[in-house]
Amino acid sequence: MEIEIIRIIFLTVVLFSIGILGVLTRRNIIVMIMSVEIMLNSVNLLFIAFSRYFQDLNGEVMVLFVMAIAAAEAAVGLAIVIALHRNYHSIDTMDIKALKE
Amino acid sequence: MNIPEILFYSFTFILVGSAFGVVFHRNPVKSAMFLVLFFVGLAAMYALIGAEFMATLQVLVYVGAIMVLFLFVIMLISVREEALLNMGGNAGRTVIIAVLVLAFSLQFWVLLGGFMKSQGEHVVNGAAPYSTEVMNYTTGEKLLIKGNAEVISYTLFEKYLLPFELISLVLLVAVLGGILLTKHKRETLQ
Amino acid sequence: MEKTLITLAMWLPLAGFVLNGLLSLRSKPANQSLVSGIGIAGVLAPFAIFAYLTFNLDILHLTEEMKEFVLFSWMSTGTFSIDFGYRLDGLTIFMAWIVTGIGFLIHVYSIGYMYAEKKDFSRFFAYLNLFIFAMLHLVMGNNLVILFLGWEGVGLASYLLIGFDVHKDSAADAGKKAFIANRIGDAGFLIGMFLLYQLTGTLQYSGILEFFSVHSVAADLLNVIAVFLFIGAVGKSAQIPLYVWLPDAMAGPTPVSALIHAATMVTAGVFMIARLSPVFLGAPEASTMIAYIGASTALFSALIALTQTDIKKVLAYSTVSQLGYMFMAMGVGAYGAGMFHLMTHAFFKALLFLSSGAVIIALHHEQDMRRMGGLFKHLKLIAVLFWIGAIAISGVPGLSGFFSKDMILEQAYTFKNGGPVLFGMGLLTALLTSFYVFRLIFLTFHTRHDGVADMEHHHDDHHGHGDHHGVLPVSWNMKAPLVVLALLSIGGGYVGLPHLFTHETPAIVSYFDKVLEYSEGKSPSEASHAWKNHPTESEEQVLMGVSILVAVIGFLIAFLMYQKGNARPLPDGAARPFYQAWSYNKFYVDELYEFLILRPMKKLAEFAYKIVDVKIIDNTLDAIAAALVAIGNFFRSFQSGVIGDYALYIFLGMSFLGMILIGGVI
Repeated sequence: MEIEIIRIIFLTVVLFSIGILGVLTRRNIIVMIMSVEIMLNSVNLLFIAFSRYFQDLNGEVMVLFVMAIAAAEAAVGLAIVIALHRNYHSIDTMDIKALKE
Repeated sequence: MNIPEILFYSFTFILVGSAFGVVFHRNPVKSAMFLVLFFVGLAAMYALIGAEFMATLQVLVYVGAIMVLFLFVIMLISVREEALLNMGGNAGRTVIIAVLVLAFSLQFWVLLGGFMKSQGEHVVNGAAPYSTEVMNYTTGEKLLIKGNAEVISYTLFEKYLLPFELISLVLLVAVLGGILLTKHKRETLQ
Repeated sequence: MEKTLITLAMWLPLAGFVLNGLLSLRSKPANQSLVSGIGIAGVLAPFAIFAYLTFNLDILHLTEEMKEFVLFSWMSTGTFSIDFGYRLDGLTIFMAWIVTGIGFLIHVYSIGYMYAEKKDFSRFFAYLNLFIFAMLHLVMGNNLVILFLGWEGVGLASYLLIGFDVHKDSAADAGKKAFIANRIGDAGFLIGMFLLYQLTGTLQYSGILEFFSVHSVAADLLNVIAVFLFIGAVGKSAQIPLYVWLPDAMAGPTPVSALIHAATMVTAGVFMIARLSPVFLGAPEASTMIAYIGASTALFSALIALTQTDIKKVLAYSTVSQLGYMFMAMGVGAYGAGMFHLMTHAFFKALLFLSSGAVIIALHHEQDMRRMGGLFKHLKLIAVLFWIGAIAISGVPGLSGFFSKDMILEQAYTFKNGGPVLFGMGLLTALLTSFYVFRLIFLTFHTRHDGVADMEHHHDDHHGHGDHHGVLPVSWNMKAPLVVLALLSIGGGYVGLPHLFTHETPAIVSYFDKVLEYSEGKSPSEASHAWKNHPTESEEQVLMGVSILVAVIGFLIAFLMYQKGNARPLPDGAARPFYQAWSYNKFYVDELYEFLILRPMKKLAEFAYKIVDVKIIDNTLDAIAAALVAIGNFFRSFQSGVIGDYALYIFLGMSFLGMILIGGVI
């Protein structure tokens, strides 16, 4: 049951980058939030890998907190998506340019 | 090649494949399905490296709660399919961003790789459980505790008790915010 | 007690200025009795105070502590500090007498002169009081900065009063000309002041006088300082080459011409030289230059005065000429003589100006002598007073002008650096003075030409309404000051009876030797002792005889030409012999300045406007603005409003930080 940690690190880097790619390229806000979840989870994986590697439990506790925050973030973010959709009838970022004002 | 490695590579394949599926599939519902697969794959990976309690939580929280939320929202909003080329505004922009992200991941890799080279043994042992010595407050005797769930619970409720309680406040606020944002009619948001 | 009184005397004119100024702001003309009451109080009170001080203090034997006192610290930075204070000594009290005394008489006269100007009456008195305020500070201040404050203050009052008739462009232009000519002088004066501060480390008179009583300074440095200070005096006291403003300043009301542009303000330069006598006495070359400039100015402006037809212009050039005398005296080190002439000139020139003002008022603001003549039978008292003034200025023995002018001429003759030349110029000036002033009298009062009939004819032709007929009566408050001034013009010279008569130093000279003594045995006479030869008694007799002779000759020429020969000045456009044309056109100095200074300045200004401003500065600024707009537009394109773009910027920033981290690791 032994896995080289360098491979896990490589995996998390790849997953994190895919998440960034999703956030930066997609125009659908729901998919952007999903990509953010991917980024969060890749970081969680890194935490747990190092936690196991150092036999230090603090990393896993941190993951617990990240999960809680992610749940809160998803709840609020999706509520915002609903509110946006109600006001703009769209969840395409190209249609929502209120930041420019 | 031993079994853990085979498992690791197959999980890796699932994770990367499903992540790409989330990011690039034109249908948000399918993206959500790929995200479910991603979460489950990640839970398996946690179990593989010996964090079976976190694997359980991953399935419960992400697959059981957050994904339901996503699907529920997608269901509420009629999301139209996007053309693949239109996803990033234009293809050139997508390519530029992809190159940038590649460069960024290289950076990341260089940083963490540089850190890892300074370490001695590079192996995660999935079979070694956590253990800790705790005190029984009523008798005063010391006990050695083994097993992930037990050790995590002791750590969480002794060392991280205050943050744990505060996180519940954050969740409460998030719940209130979610209700506020979705319940009120447009005059408050506009 | 004295300090309170002096402070009161210094600030009461300002109170008068403020009160009358406020009255003049009302749209309704103010009560003229009230206005003149305030105005006269503003000058009579200081006069009374100075008279009281003169008779109650032993002015010649004040200690240094009693001479200067400080009201408050005006400005203080580091080691440099200026106190606001006053100085009371023989020189300042002398000037204060002249300023407030003549000022008082002219205030009284102005009530009559300005009475017709209902609307501007209070404004006029406000300005007059402002002038008195500034002039008192000029003479009474205890340091050069207050002198400069007063110096600028009288310039301002002069400007306001020259341009008093604000509706006339010529008056406004004359005011500006005076201001600008004075500004040139002021620049020199300031530089001189700075140099003096650098040398002595103080601007306070007591400090400066003490410095010079202790140190002996190289003449080179003092020459430079003296020349710069003299440039200031040139502007203020209308010497060559900056005299051009004074004749134009006659655009102001006649009392102003008498007070500011004859009796007091224009003598500020002479006063300043006397005040800083150690500087000038230590600078023989600069003093020689001052003497020659003074003599040249005297001769030059007397030549111009010969052919002028405006009664006030003649007197204006005469003033410039007499100021030249004063500077000649200061230049040869005869400070007592210069101050003496300053005093007598204040008397007889004020008398002449005010009499001419009476004539002008009587003839309904007619100033051209060609329209006058035969006025003696209409204005007997004025004519007599005018005669007294004329005799005084021309140097006929017995009246004040004779004593002071003769003293200057004698002192100039004894000057080692070309004394006879200076004397010759002075003597020629005296001849011309006598001629032009009697020409003025004959043309105005005595020729057979009847100015009054001419004027009535003139008015009938052009206006046709009856209330302009005849000579207007001159009111008592115009006559009374004239009588006082006439008495002063007659008697004022007896404080300076010449050596020849009394065989001792003239009283006024010993007075100023005592007053201006800045250390034991260093009075102006002694300090300039080495500059002078010492005439024998027979030489003195000859000098006096000659100067009497030229006065009589001048009178005879004028009498023969204008009274017997009945000559009239030519009309403006008439062809004149070239020597007359040069004099009449003021030697074309204004035109010369126009050509040499104004035109290049205009060209430069045009260049600065059309090339530098429009092409270079404007275009540069436009380019900068355009560049900023372009940069702004460029950065605005980042502000797309699309959330993905903002996320990209965050990502780029993070990558950049990552780069820095890598740089740290590697």
